[in-house]
Amino acid sequence: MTRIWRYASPSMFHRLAGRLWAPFALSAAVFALAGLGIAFFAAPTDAQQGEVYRIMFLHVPAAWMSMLIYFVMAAYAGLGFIFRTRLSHLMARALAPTGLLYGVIALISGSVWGKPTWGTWWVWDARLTSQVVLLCLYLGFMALHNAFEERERAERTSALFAIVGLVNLPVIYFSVVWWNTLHQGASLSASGVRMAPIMLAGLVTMTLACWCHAIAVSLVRARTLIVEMEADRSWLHRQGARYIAKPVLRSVGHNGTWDTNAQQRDGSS
Amino acid sequence: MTIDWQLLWDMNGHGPYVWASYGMALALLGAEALSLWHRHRQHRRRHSEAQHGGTAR
Repeated sequence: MTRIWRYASPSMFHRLAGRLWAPFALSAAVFALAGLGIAFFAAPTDAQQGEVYRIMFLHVPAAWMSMLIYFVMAAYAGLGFIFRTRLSHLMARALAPTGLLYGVIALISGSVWGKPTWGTWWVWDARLTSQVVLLCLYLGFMALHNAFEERERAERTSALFAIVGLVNLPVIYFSVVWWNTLHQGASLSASGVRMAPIMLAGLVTMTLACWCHAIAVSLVRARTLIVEMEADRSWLHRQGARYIAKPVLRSVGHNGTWDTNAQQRDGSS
Repeated sequence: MTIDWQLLWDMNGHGPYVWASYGMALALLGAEALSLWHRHRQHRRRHSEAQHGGTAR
């Protein structure tokens, strides 16, 4: 168990993320190819909507991801708020742009799907409006992070904002139940699955692709943020010397000298 | 099994909606990956300049 906690340290996590992002990116590509294969070649034409329903294999995983990533982001932000752990705030920051991206994909693909099925690109119904609110929460979180000079203040304010924004997640999920909306109800719920097994297989495979992609991209972004935030730490100079130049470290506030005593203290070779 | 590419492209008239959705997603995901790659390349280039320019110790 204590081995896991070692990775709460930015230096250890930087190394771990460097090892993990490529396998996750590769898995995302494999799952995406398999998912698209099922979506376009194996899944049959929908009896009601015809071929246009194939947007579902993109729209639904993207919408799920936008909500899941927000939950994970708020959880990290909450951990950082309570325990004041730098890495938690950093992970929340690394996740936000990817969550926003999936939210945008869900909204645009949903709008394009709405035109042939509902006859309109957009309606201000509960599901769509709450999804727009989710995008605003992502933008607000990212803006708050950049709004303060003092890093800790920015982290704590944006964390609080993210936690309060969690209220919107059940609103999005249950909006089709609580209100009379144009948006269709959930195809997957506790009461059962309302689609053919091959369609479900395509949906699950595409969702796995999105998960792996989100993890890979967030790990890469987290590494970049670690470089920028830990510029004055000795471990970064040892570990990052292979590709992070001193001018970069200087540009983010380091004086460019090597602290050999700190290296010895940290037990470096 | 043979694939009717014309049918796949046309999607019974829904092709523009379906392919526009997937194209948009691909473009956005690609832009995100490119931006991260660009950031990584900037770090590498600065490192390379520092080494060849003699500023690195």
